[in-house]
Amino acid sequence: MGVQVSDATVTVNNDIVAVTPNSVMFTEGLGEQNIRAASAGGGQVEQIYSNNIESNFSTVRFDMPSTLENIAKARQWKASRNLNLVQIMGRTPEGDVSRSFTQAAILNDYEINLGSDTNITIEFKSNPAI
Amino acid sequence: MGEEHEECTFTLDYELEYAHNGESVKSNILILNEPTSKQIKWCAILHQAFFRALPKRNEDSGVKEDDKEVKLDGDEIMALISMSPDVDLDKVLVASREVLSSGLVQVGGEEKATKPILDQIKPVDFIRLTGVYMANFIVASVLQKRKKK
Repeated sequence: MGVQVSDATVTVNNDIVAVTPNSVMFTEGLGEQNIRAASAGGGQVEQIYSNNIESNFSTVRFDMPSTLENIAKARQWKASRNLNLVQIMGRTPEGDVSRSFTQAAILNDYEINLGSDTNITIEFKSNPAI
Repeated sequence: MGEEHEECTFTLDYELEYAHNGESVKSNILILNEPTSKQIKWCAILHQAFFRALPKRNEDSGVKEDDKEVKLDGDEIMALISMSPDVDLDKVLVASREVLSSGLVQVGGEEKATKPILDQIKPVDFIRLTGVYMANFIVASVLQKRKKK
């Protein structure tokens, strides 16, 4: 029986971030690859595998409530350029999964939604997950 | 020991992992700084715990108060607190964790220690760290006053 990782801890620059449940997402940063065919003639096809390293970056995304503390945190992370470290830890009765994202940066002009149940969506781009 | 310091160093036998400039680095050095009024609530708990842990003086014994400076190091302070029936060690350690995670400790001399960083410290070392902090910053001013009397 498998247990889903549904309650991950997100830490940014040594501080635990209280995130909106079920909003945490990351990519491994293993990039995109391509397979092409090369013909040796006579119906013989060879596979040419290539790795597009331009896409070898991880993405970490999560939502957090629009509190004063979180608004200040988001601003600080943006101001830190690519000098942020994001860590995700997920724990289940079967074991743990953890990933570290070095040199993480917020590239977009994130929105701060002000309302009774609104969130700030934060997206980091970083080195491939470790 | 017993003199006030603005800052002191605490060294662990193992390294703590923390984030610095977008990378994960390690250090076993903690720089402890003196508290401010921002930590007054938690410092009061530590201050009072020390006094409650002190052995009670028997006024009928005819023993006069010793005018010599009382020197206590961190381990002796924590031993007093641990053995005292009037003080709860868990409350002292919780207060210590709040004080130390409020920006008064720098790990590796670079980053402020947060709770995730302090949570890497083993309990026996955290007790020792609490004792050192109390000896240098919480209790030191009290012992200085006793010496001046």
